Amino acid sequence: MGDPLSALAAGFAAALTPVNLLWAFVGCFTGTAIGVLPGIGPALTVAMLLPLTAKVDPASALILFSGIYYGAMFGGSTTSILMNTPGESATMITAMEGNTMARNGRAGPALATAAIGSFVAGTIATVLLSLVAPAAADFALRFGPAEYFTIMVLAFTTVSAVLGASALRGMTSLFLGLAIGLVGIDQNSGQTRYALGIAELYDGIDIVVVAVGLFAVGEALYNVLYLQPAGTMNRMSQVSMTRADWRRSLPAWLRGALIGFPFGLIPAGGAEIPTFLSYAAEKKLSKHPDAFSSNGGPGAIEGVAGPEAANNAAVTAALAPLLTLGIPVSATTALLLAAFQNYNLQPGPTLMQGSAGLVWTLIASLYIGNVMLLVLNLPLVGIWVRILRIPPPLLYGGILIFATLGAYSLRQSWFDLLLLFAIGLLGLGMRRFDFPAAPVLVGMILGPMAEKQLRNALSISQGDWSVFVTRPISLSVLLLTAAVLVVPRVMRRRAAAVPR
Amino acid sequence: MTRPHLAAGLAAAAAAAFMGAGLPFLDSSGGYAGLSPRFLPSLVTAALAVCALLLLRRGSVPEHCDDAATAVAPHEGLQRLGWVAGGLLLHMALIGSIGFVLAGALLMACVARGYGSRRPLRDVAAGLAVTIPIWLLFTQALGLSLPLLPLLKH
Repeated sequence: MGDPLSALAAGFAAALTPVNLLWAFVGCFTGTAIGVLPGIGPALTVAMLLPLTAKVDPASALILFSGIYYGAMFGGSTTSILMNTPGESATMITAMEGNTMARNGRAGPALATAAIGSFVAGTIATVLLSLVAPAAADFALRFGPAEYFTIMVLAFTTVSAVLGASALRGMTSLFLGLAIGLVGIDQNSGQTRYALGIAELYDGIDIVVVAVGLFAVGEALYNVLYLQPAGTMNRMSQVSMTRADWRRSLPAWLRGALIGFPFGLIPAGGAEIPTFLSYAAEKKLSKHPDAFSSNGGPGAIEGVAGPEAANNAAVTAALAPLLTLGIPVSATTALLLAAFQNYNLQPGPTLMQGSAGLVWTLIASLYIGNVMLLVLNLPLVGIWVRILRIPPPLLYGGILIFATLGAYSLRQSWFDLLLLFAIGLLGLGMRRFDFPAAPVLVGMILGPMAEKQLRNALSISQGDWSVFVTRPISLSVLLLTAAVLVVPRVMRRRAAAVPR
Repeated sequence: MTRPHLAAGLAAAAAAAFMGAGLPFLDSSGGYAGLSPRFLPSLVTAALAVCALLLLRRGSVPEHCDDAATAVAPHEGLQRLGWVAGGLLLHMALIGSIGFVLAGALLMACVARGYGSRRPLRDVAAGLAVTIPIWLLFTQALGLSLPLLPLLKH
């Protein structure tokens, strides 16, 4: 694989061509423009813009996507701070603390610390990713089907049972996703399953249709049924930070980045936990605990800086299991995996070997995307704020035009639009009854992969299931899975048992 | 307020029943892995059934109440939903003949009506302002096919 530094330099050389810089710009711009729309997070932004990649070469498409990925996150925190409408759970803290700051006339510093903090943490995380990814991929080359299968079981467990409010709801969502993933021709046996004789279903249900249906259509149907009062927008102020703001933000960014990275790295993803941890840490360490909104204060800048940095570091680190193992641990990475698969590329250790140039171009483009966002977005914040003023009727109309475009452009079939509508109704129900959507996406994309690995593992062991507990790595992963299931429960019970 | 869990439990039960009903049509011979194409569907069916039972059991115990604002769908809520859902279905039915640009503008008008707009002409214009640039981008810049008026081709 060569040494990482020269490989990274080659990646930069590939990413820094004028055409690719243009793609990076387009990605950052459209990602921010869509991500800033209320209630729309990075996953949906990536899903709606996936058709753009159809005719672009793989390297440019990945550069486009890293721009979209970061842009959507920046856009999401802008909306959270100004309107208190988080597009996903990882920006809930930003919405709480940043919006409090904005209500007290400090929207500008909140936006600035979020943007610069994302840049700092994103850069640190990308450096760490460049160091970790080759080693992890080398290690992963030793994995066989049994190891992959157990790692996927770990991913299933964490995404459904550990993250989110209720394990039961998460599991229900996960198995629903696995059921959706079963539709179509089974890659191993060639048998068609649950296609009901409908030719369009033989290829399976496309993840774009499911993601856009659950998020965009579900959201539009939910909001029209239970008409939400339009979020009130806070006044913008100067986007600059005072010397004291810098002094309070800098350590929070660094701590946030260090808290966030390991959480993204292990295939137990989710950026929620590190943002909450970072917030708790900042609150504990701050010299101004009274300023925190959870203490009834006017909003503390550390409370925005830390969690935003943690979020950005975690989502960047989440690219490591995707690139080195081929395992997505969040809705967004599940969609990125789909983008890879559109090019017949299977992320994993062999991708790091066979298409190392492409991977390093992607990593280099993460650096570029980070810089571009910082340079572009703070000066352009006026434009993003204007996007927020689009009246809801046109906003949701526009979202649904993009949603239907995403589904229709797959193969220009009205059937995909019907599926989109049906999944939108499912999304409405899930939103109404508070079921998480990410396990559905991870289940449907990881399910067929897990089935294949399970079958391969059992083929090798000639049907002997003990293979999963006799191989050391798969046994360790299974024990880790048991631990993530049991430990939080025990700790919660202990915390409840401690008398006040 | 126990309805959320009951409704969700019934939906999960329906999904389990659907998956279960499909099982007999699947091949159960396992090859030398001992794992048939029926294995994972059976597992998913069983798991969904267990989730359904647990949800239904929770539904029968008084539990935390949902957000009051979303507890009941008022009549006009359903009417508004009808505009959006109708717009989506109309869009699906017409896109093959009037094309993406016009169907998208129509969708915009219906959705905006659902969200309370009373200015259909502005909404159609806004729809065209979104769909025409997309159409130009897809067909001219990216070289994808997105017929303007498929009807005229026949």
